[in-house]
Amino acid sequence: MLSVYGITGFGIILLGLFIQWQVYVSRIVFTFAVSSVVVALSLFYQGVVSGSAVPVALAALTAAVRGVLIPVLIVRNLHETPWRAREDRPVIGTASSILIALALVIFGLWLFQWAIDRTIGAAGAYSALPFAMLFEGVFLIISRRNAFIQMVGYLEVENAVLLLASWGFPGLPLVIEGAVVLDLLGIVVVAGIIMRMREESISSDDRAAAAAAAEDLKG
Amino acid sequence: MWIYAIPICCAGAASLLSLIPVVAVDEVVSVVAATAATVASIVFLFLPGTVGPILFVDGISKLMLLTISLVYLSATVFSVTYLKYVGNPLFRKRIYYFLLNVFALTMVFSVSVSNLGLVWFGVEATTVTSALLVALDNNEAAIEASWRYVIIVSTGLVISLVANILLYATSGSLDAASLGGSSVSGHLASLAAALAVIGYGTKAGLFPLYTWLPDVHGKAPSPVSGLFSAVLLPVAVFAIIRFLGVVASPGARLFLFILGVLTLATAALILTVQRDLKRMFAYSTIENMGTVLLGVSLGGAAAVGAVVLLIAHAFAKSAAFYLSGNILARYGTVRIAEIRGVGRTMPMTGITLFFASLAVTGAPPFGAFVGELLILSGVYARYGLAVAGLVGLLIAISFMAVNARVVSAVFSPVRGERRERGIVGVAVPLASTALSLAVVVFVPAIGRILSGVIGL
Repeated sequence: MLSVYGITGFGIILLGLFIQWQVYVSRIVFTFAVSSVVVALSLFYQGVVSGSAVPVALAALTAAVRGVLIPVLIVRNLHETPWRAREDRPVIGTASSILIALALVIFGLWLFQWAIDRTIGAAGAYSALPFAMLFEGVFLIISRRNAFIQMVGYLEVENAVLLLASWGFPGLPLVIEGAVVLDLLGIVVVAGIIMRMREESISSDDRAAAAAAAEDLKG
Repeated sequence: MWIYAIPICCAGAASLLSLIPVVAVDEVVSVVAATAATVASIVFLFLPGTVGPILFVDGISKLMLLTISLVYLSATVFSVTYLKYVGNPLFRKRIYYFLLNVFALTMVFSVSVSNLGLVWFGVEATTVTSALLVALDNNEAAIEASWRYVIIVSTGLVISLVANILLYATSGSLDAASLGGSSVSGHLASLAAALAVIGYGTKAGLFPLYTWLPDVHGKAPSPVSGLFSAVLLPVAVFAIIRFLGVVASPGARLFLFILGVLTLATAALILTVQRDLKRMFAYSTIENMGTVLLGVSLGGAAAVGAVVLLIAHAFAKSAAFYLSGNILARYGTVRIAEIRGVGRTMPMTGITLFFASLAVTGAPPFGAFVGELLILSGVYARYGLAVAGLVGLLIAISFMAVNARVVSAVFSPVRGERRERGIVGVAVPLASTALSLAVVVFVPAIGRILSGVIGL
């Protein structure tokens, strides 16, 4: 079971770095969807092995909402808003952002190893992986301006919290899992409404100009 | 015990009743609920606190409940007049009051519950309920500000959720009342405390994640800006106090002190170049929160000073934002260079703004002055003259920057007819400023109420 944690954790971190490398929103969303499904499979496996229903329920929720529903909604929205198809003004360049993300992952792993003590079980060491993932997600939000990519960064952070809680501290009270679920429902719905308003606030002239600029960028 | 749930019930009932599609019902039920919550909060001051599995109301909770209720009341009353000047609102008036009441509910909930997971849930719920209020003006800038608010603050709060997870891993509980007395220690607990400082600090406007705050305060409707600055940020500070109350981590307190100084320094320097009235008051809020967190990190008398500053700042800053709303309604702008002769054209608004500005920057004899003095004494006692001098200098820079601009806007000569706002528009900020002055009388009582509070 521990090897499953290791493979899943490193795989998700690599997918996070791959997201950092991308500029096209659709690829970022697809990669995030794959990452969420991997998280869901890991939770499902944990639930089956431990005989607990909570990880299985969280796995189903993760797969349905973050693996399918949100990616589908974003991609559908991209067809209506072509100027959002790629990040053309990242705060930090691609090469630099990959290096910074990698450095943050290493810092996260070190920090968790420093803080860890005997209160955490055998799987504790692997909890450092989702902890490092947190830094990856936060950095994605900081380094991009595109609203969809920022949303993916936020959801990446939530995936990391779920894994951290489930792997490292499986006896957590329901208030934690409940918080993640309610947070997902509340914030994602509100963020979705605001994203929609942002699009509607852009005038039709701006849309035409932005769409033309997006076409130019495609070359 | 359940008597302490009255403010929660009042705000909850008002939010539902606000949705009834009958003229003025939304305004009436909101004002009645806020009044009832205020009366209950005053009564709580004379009752013993409660420690239970769900509610945990000690001295600091009582003071927070009173402050939130009073600002909730002033914001609902001021909204009655302010909403007349919103040209193209994003949603109907009753939806505005619904959201305002739910927003108040989430704040009073956050300061009344015992479980740190529920405290986190309450603070996160304030984001969900207030995000749409920010965008009421229905223009691109307001919507953009709302987006930045949701994404930055939610990310910060996820970090504080991780802090809760790590705390549970260390202590086996999230119950603040049973964990009280700083019984939890170790590397993992210190990491949890540091993450809580970063996470809740994002909502409190702490360096470096304060960037959402000037945008939101600058673009939100004035009653909402008032609520944000006066009580929402202090609720996040309350969460930090609760967390530090259960973790014995000198390192986390030092980390908080350093972030507080950096926050204060950043806000003081940016204040010197502000040209927008509401953004200026937003940076002033960041400066005040930085000072408050210095007091929280030090504990003892400095922490009492921090709470005094929180309360005095809440009344004065809400007044400053309401008055900025009056000026926006009359002048059509909040650019300081274009606001001239407020003292002549809107005498009550101008004079009250002058005093509110003095109050938020810690001029004597306002309550904020006493709070800042106690904090500076604490800094001097712990870190010596050089650090206390630096903190004092930064506070002085903020004082000069804010008051110079307000004086130029209020007392500059201008010809023009008087265009003062109606009685509600000037009476609410005047009363709030007077409350900020009255706080100074209650400093000894606040000290008594806070005695024995964990984390202070």
